[in-house]
Amino acid sequence: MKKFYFKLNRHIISVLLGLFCATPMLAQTGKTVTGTVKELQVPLVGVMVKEEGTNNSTFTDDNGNYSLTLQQDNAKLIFEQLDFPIREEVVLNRSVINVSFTKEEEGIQLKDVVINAGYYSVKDKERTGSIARVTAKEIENQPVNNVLSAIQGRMAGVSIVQNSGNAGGGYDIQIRGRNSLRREGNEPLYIVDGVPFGSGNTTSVGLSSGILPYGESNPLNFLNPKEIESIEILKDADATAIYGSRGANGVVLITTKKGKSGKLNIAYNSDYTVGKVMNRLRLMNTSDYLAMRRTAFENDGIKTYPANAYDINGSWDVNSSTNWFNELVRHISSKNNNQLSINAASDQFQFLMSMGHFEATTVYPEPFRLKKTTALISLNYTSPNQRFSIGYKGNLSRSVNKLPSTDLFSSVISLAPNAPNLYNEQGELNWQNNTFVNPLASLRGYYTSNGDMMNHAILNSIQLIEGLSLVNNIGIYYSQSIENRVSPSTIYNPNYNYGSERSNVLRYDQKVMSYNIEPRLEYNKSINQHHFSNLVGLTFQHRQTNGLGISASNFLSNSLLNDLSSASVKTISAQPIIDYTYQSVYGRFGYNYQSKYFINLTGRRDGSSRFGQNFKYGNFGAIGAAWIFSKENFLNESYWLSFGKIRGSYGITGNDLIGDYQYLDTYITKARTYDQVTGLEPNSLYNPNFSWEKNKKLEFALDLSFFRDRIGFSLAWYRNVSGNQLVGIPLPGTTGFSSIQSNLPAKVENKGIEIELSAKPLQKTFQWKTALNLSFPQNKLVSFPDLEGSTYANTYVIGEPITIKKLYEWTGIDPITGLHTFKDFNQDGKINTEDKQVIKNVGVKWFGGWSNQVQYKNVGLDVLFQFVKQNSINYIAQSFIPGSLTNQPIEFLDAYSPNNPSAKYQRYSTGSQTLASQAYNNFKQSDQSVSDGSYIRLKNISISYQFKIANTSSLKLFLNGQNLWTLTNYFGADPEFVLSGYLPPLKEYTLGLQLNF
Amino acid sequence: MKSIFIHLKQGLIALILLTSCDNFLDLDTPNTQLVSAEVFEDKKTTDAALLNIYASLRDNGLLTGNNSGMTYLLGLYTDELDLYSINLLGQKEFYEHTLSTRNELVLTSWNTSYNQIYRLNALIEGVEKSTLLENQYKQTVLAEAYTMRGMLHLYLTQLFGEIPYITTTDYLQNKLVHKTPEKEIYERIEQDYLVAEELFLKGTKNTSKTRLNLTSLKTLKAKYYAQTKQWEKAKQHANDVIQTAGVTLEQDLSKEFLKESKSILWCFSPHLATGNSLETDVFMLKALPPAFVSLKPTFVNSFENGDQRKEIWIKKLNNNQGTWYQPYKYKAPNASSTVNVENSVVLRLAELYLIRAEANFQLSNFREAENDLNLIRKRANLPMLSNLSQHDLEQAILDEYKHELFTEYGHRFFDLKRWNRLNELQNSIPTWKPFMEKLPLPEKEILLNNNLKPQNDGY
Repeated sequence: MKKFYFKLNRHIISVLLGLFCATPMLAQTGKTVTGTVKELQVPLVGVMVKEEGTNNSTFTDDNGNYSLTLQQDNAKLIFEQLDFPIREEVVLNRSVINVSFTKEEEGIQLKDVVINAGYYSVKDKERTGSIARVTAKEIENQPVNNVLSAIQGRMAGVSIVQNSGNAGGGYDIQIRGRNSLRREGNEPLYIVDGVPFGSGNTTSVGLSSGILPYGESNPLNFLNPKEIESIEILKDADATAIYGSRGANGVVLITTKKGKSGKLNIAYNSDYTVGKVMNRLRLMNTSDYLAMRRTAFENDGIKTYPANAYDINGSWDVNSSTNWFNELVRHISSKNNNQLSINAASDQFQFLMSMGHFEATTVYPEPFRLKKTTALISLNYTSPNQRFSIGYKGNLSRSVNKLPSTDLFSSVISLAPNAPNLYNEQGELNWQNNTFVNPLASLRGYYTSNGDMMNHAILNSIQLIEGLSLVNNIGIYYSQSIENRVSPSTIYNPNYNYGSERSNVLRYDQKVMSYNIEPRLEYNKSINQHHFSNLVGLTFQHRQTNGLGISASNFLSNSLLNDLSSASVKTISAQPIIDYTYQSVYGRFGYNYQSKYFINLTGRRDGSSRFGQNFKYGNFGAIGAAWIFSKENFLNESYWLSFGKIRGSYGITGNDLIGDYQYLDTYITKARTYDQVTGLEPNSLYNPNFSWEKNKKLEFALDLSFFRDRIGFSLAWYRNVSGNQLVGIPLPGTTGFSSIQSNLPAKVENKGIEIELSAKPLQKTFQWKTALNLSFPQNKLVSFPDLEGSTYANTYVIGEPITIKKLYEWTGIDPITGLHTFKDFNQDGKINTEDKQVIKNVGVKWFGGWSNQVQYKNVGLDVLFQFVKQNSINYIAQSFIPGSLTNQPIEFLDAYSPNNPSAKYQRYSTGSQTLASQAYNNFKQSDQSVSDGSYIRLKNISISYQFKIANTSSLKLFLNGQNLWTLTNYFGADPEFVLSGYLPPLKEYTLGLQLNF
Repeated sequence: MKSIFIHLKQGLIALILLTSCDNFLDLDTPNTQLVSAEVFEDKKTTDAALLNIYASLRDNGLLTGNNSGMTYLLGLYTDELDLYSINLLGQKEFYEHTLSTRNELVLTSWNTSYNQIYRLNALIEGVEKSTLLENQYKQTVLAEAYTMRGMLHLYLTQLFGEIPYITTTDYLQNKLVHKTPEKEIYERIEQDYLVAEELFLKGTKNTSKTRLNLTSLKTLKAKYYAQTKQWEKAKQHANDVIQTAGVTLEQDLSKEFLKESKSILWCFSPHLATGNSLETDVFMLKALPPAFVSLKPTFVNSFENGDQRKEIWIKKLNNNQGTWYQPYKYKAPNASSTVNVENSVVLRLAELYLIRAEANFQLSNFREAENDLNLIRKRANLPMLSNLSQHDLEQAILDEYKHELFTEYGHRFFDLKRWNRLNELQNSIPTWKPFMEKLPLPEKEILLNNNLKPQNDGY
């Protein structure tokens, strides 16, 4: 043991500790309160009845009766059952308190739910921070593999984009905008049941990038969305500062389900989904296409069609016409989900076990499939005297995913419509005398990813003395993945006569083992109207990642490709062992007076192994305050304003997503050999002096409810300034490398407004709840010392968002050459990079979601619309020159010719003319390549019918649709994600049932 | 698991005592990495760092035999190869002479070369600082590094014109570097070659053909002097190499590229002990019509009748659709081969006869030039030349370069360029323009470092 390292914080902690010790203990035994809890005259079983400010609680029995002996004077009872909002009753001089829960009937004063804020919980109405929440109810019917798909559009300030229509891929999730100049530096922190989850990308980029955009996957792919109870997203400084150096991009807290009190309950869910690809691109038919090709050759002055112009020189049938979309990606995909959960509980024990199995097939014409089996075990024990509790949650998951190794979607767009048939008369793949690269051959190559994951979380709590508890959180995360990219020799043209000696397999195994230990002291105390709620704690985390990459080729047989020992050439391509350690001390001091005035202070000191010797530690903290002005006398009891709160927060959080060991100056081994010696090469340019990225967050918000919570309104304004940017600063190739890790003294500001509106217009037999969220993010590069002299000079402009593009200004088509023209800004007679002076922001202007829940007797209807106002990179940016041997969208029919002088696109060219190619290349980088990508999408619609079978049993049938309808002007396959060549999202229909007994 | 409990215990104690361990955050060097200074304390690891640069030259960048090297790309760019693939845009731009400043193959060539130069500089700095390596060993390693550094810069300047000459690993300096004036580039190349020569003389003798040695350095110097038109020196160096013991012109053309060939001055060792040249994989016509490239019929027809090189180094294939020609200097496939018979030959003796012929021609020793040509022609079973006019002799030298060194490291391009006759390509390639003698500087690099401006003319 060395000396205490948190020198600065010691005093603060001493003060906090002093506070605990100085407070007198007021435990006293009071009277016993009894009563019955009912819903519409039916006794409710398993409602938790708790004395506020204590751990003193009990549950209602089979007849809805409870009995609780009070510990405090001026006690208040809290009645809690997950299906209902929390009820509070001040005991006063009553000894019998009967409670009647009604589903939000008018006239009953309701209190809000308690939300998870990570290291502590807080009542929604009393929080000082900004926390968005989605619960199981809203996401349970959706046929998604990753829960992030289900929460799209449901939370203000949270932008989620799914990168691929194939299961198993990654997501771009941005909480209040892009803080970091690095794409991967914007990833939030994922915490599942208190355990830091996964380690960013779980796939090996080199193996998966053909099918998964960026070669990425998302760690939450491991979880079963149906086993998730709630998701809380921490946004502002007050909420995220307790996560210190990892909170800058927001924190996603996932709580899996746990045993509910009550009698034995068995639930079974099953659903079946069919889906197909959405594609907005309409491509040319054969006659339009061939006309384009002929004109292109004519325009280029080529009289005889060259040998490789197969489409028109007679090699291919000019009369054939194939819709490649139908041939290659129009297979109906299916998803099947089954889940069984068993819940049992007594006063001391709660137990939940859930098992799920999920399968998804793809839209490709081969049997690719994802299979995922998950299990969740939740155990809780509370001692009879309520002073000791221990809980365990185990999430287990095994998934086997098989996908093509390359996405056929790019072939769908580019293949000529008269390209040959996929199969010849013999039913074999057709290569049309070697003039055709048959896209189906590539499906014989595949990518598999087998992953296992275990996440164990143990939370135990001991009440040391009244109000003071020692809580310890222990987490163990383990995951293992085996990925293979198999390229059998059969993917090649059989005329090559390749045998299994040409087959090769790349394999990457990865194991991640992480544990975290987080002991903390919690102290809650009320003295008259003064309420304190404090905690101090420590975190230790160690994560080790073990990788092993093998490349094997020259196999004995194509049937033995899964047996690497049958390959005659085997190379170990990599075997990294990466450690990451992290430790910190943190505290939160909360105080409120009369539950009206709140103030919270949060502090954290973090150390991370990712930084060099003198830069390992950083300090973070925040202050948050709130005033519930509706409790003031002048407003109290007001009918129209039932709740009103102003809150604000300010603080600093950090970001250490930089990769490990970057501060070392090292050589690494390379599998490549020379003279039979394995090589060593410099790893990277090295910089020992980089440190945390810091993000200063400021927020003000107003929360209002009117007419006894029938209408809710929330308005938040925030400003986050992210400085000390930790980036791989791009370097010119003359330095030997493309970048160096360093802190950049640039500042990026994200500010914006978030509006949430909710209403319950109808509350009788016909119930209608509606909620709208709107976010107006603004991003700006505030400062960047010496931008002009830096390598970012041509990328960013101070005062503009960091998502801008500098582009050529398109000035129409030259009637003489028929080619695109551009504004020559510097008037040097040439169009080159210096003329890229038009600034276009490629990004979101505003976005939101509108959800509706309608209930009439047993029929329920849920509808969610998602809408985004944005500018996107459109199809032009990635297109090939119209007239070359690739099909084109019908928009390109509007090409220049003497008969069509006002065309949008230049005359057709085969690409062999330099001027035409250059003009087109510039066009691809002109202001025309960015256009409106706004859309409104019916993200989710669900109709359900519930049958009551017996008092306690029910059957619910539902029909669900995903992405059913989209309104957009976007020019491209899909406005939601614009990565060219990858499968867009699917339109899906689900039929399912939920059985409870 | 043990450590978990240790930390749990630590955690609890820490919470109570408010103390903690500093060393929790101090990690060992990762298993796959070696601290740079340690690399150069040991001969084995120094070898690994040096040989890795050879391996990189073999697999990536300008000298590689695969489809990103000069052999392939400049073959497409000049009048040697036809391209059949329709989707490979980067290659298409070379073939169709529509090179844009954003061509990714140009960018990769540039970046890979400078990465190799970085590694050379890191090696030079590390070895020079090292106190534990023995002197003679150090001198040989340094000599090889200086030779490669000079060679890479020479290729870069021949391709791009003025380029930065990089001699340090300091990125702060290299990121804002200006182009070095052409005259200075050539001075520095010569300087590197001269330093290398001195070191080779002092260092441990090395005769391995897979490594650079004094003979291969002299070959590179001969090329350098020819390039800079210092004909006396070019002739002298070519002479030196031709007269080196153990190196003779292989008379059997079918053995010229075998690994035991006596003509070889420098070749690449394959990645696998059983591998062969990378060229075969790229050029082999696995099906007809070719998937990627084949020799242009006009090129094949330009051989004189009876030229054995046409028979032995070119493979003719036909089917009912037509006839195609495969460069067939290398015959053994690399992928899935079981025995090593051929390596990519970077420098071979025949070129030195041609350099000497060229130097003699420029020095007006026309008959000596003819003699040198005849040594090469004899081997190809061609009639001897005599008393050619100066004009015919010039053409004969250029033709001999063309037919001897086709599809070898862009020779055709560099030879035409040196003779100032690149524009003759217009006869067979109508789209050829004079500005194409230089490749465009990658736009991305100019954007990252404005000091690299201006872009080469025409782009």
